[in-house]
Amino acid sequence: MSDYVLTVENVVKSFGKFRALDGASLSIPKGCIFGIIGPNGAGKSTLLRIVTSLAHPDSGRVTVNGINVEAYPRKALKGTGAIVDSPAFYPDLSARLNLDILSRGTGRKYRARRDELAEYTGIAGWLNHRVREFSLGMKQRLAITLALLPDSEFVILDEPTNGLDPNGIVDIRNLIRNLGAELGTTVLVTSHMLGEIEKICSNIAILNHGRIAAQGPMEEILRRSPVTLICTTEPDRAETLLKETFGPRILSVSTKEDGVLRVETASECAAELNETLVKNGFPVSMLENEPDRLERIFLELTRGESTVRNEVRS
Amino acid sequence: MILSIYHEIAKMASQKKHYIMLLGFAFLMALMVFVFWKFQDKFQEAAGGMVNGMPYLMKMTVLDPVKLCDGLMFARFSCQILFWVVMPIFAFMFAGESIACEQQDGTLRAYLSRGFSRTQFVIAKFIAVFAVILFYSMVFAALTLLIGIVFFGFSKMQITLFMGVPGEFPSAGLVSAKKAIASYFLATLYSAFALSAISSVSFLISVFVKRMTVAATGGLVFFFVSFIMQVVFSQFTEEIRPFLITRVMDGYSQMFTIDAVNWDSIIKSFAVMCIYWSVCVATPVVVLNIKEY
Repeated sequence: MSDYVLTVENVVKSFGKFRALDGASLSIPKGCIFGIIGPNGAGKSTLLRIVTSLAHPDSGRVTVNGINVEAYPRKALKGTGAIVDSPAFYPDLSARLNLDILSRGTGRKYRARRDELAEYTGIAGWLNHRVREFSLGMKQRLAITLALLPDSEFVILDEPTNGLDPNGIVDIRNLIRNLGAELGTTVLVTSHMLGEIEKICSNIAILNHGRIAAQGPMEEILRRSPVTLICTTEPDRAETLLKETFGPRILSVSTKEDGVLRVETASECAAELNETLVKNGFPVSMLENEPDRLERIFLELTRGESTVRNEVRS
Repeated sequence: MILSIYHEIAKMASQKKHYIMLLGFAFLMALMVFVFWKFQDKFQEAAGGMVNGMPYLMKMTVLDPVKLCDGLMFARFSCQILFWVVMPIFAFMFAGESIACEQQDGTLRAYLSRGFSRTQFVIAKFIAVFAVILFYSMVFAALTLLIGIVFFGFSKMQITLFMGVPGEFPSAGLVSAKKAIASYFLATLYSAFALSAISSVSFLISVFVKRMTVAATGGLVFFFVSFIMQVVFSQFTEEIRPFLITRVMDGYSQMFTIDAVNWDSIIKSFAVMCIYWSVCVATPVVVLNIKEY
């Protein structure tokens, strides 16, 4: 049995002259919450559509639990629940019937699990209501419940926090986090909201130009050239000191307009920076990792190309 | 498969167009009661002389002429309009909506993303459309008969003549009410099959488009073109006439002649229906299995 729930190997998919996926490869380990981020037109939706057998790749191979999706879609996707694009339901049917129809669940065991999951996702009291009455947040919860039915071990959620208010975002974020921690479900989630991905996911892949630009555990990705912000007296002298002391380990040092030192290093060494400055008589009043690290890495990996790509598409 | 059919019927049952359908039926019934009431008077007036150019009709029977226009006669008369005009429109709507709306709403993508059988999906949908048509045909036929009996009473003997194929009237005769009612519901059953064949055109279109209106209108256009080819340009369409979709509906009229049913023609009509069913179900199966969503 494979250690990976999903493996994508050199998948190519073109729409006319436009190559949406250009040899994309990634692997999703069991039990993780895996995020895929990428600029518009990077190929995220196309990849999800291929994974869920909604589209066929021109070449390459996609397997779910070691089973080829293209050859045996039903068998491969048996334990997979997917919400591709925005959640779609039959508005005039009850939430309960929507779950039954779209998951094709039946039997006593299924009904018990459905009710249990509805309780878990917070829609138990709404099961008999028509979906027409649901807010977007409730629909997202219903979509997550559906994705988990009848007994999904792998859940694919496309932009699950799209269009939600801040409270809704926090609720859905916690829910997705708990899926992995409490139910042991492997979750594949895509989002434009990098902050959300950073908070939710244990592993990520950055998709750009139809290719995987980077992938791996979140910490590993974020450890790439970490940036430390340091507030100290005489930033110019401190800058020189750090350059001399750390040499090539420091990729760049600059002083921001507000006098804060911005130090980009090849590896995580905030503690050493602090120690060096203090030992040399530079009082450190603030030292922290630069926020939105994922955003910075994302922009570094995708900057420029997405603009060119959008121009090509138009 | 049974679960799929049940789900499809549940989806169709939730639609609001059922209210429109019931409203349309109620309006038609009100209109038909009025018309038949008037027709009854005229019938009585003419009883001593010519009745639609057929004086022998009255001479051959000892029945009170008014009694000939009873509830069952009303039902037979009304169902002609119901199954030729009203029901095809609703059948086109139900069939046209089946796949097109799911594509438009995104529920088709949600369903197919789980790797469920697409072939089963199409077949279940088609059977569900047929089940709904059959249900409404039977219910409307029963209601029409009930309304007829309430307003116009019921005779123990029924005249066979009235609803033959236009221009092909069989000789008139009398049959028992039991046989006439059996014939009435048999004709209704036939009409459900015929409507299913007719609506399959919309079903076929619905796999290519995302709007129910387009699929339903496409079916209607096909129906009317077929009608025009059969009736208006009949002398030029001799070769294709047996295959016209409206020709299939003729069998329904023939069933009303009660004791003069042309079974050979009915069997041919079923053969034509089979062609429509095969093409209009097989094509969506192939398309849905190839198409990307």
